[in-house]
Amino acid sequence: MKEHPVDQFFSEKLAGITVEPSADVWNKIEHHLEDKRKPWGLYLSIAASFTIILAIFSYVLLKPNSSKPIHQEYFEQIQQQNDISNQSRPKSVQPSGTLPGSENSIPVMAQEDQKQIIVKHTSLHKKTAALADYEGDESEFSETTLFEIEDITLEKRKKKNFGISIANTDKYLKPQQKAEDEPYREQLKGYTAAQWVNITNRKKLESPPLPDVSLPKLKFEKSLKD
Amino acid sequence: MKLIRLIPSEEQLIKKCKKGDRKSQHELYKKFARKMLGVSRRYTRSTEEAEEILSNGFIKVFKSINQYEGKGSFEGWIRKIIVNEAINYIRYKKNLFVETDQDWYDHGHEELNEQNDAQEILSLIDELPIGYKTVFNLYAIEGYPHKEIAQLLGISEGTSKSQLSKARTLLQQRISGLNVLHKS
Repeated sequence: MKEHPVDQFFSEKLAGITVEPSADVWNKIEHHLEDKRKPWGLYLSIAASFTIILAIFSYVLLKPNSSKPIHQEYFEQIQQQNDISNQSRPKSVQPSGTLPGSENSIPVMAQEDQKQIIVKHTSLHKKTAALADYEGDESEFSETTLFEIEDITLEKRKKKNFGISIANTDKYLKPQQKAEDEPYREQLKGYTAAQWVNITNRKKLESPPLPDVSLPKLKFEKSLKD
Repeated sequence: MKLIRLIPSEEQLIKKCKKGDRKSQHELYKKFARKMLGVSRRYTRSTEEAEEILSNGFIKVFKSINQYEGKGSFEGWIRKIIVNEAINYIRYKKNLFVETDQDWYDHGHEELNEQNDAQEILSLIDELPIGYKTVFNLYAIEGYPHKEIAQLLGISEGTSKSQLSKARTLLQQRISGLNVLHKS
């Protein structure tokens, strides 16, 4: 089939035509080719964040299960030691020296036993030091601090369990009362504390002792009615 | 002495592009971009549109380069992708075969002389209605048979033939003043 002259003319002139593209064209292509890889990064980051969330959740959920406080264990250890050493200490033997902080809780043993005790003692010291660190007080760690720590943490745990801080009574006060004097607050503190005792013992709540106190509405009031 | 090839062969380039090597992809692009923009330009009215076809076409080229098995020329393979992309573009952007009263977009062209370059010839094609232009490009320049054109454009073979003959008539009128047609 013979080529049509018009076809021939145009194909001769235009078949090999070239046009210079602008630089944007390659940038666009490159951008698209990179986009293709994106999903993997996306999946990876989703997976990573999921793992982190899982880790946080498991930490939060598992923590209370193992929450017989470390210091309580050590406290018990000390008590055990006290008991054992009280029983085993011969009455006739005089204390051969004093160990730091020993006058409160750890009895000093006879010289032949001392080496062993010192080892125990220092290891205890290390533990109390760690605990003191935990409480943010490095300066005075001794066996006495241990008991203080114990008290504080028990108090903290109580608060934690009830979910409301007893010390924070200010929020029950009306604004104009906030600026007023201490005794008023003290009284209120006592009152709130008493109410918490009532709640935990499933007793009825007492009405506030002061006229201007507004109590928060408690949602669980219903279930407390016996 | 060892012969060091500074310019990688087309075969090597394709091999590296199949592995997704960005540098080789750029090399391949640089090698064919000008020619392929010339192809896509014939189907559009502006270089901007042609560039859009070019970039979409090359993205397809790199995505499906693994399907090129070395049968036939690589340039022909790319060209086919670009042409398909151009047709997709036209079909997507425009209503291809709407018959208009005005068959010829007359922009008051100066009388053509024998020194007209490719750019001016291109402007003649540009002025054709889009349907005529597409069929003429595919048949006269790309060498596609009517059957294939009809399939590509979703029209009947008859329509393809009539569009071609209308395009020829219009173009012939335009260049009749020139002594370039070998009339038998």
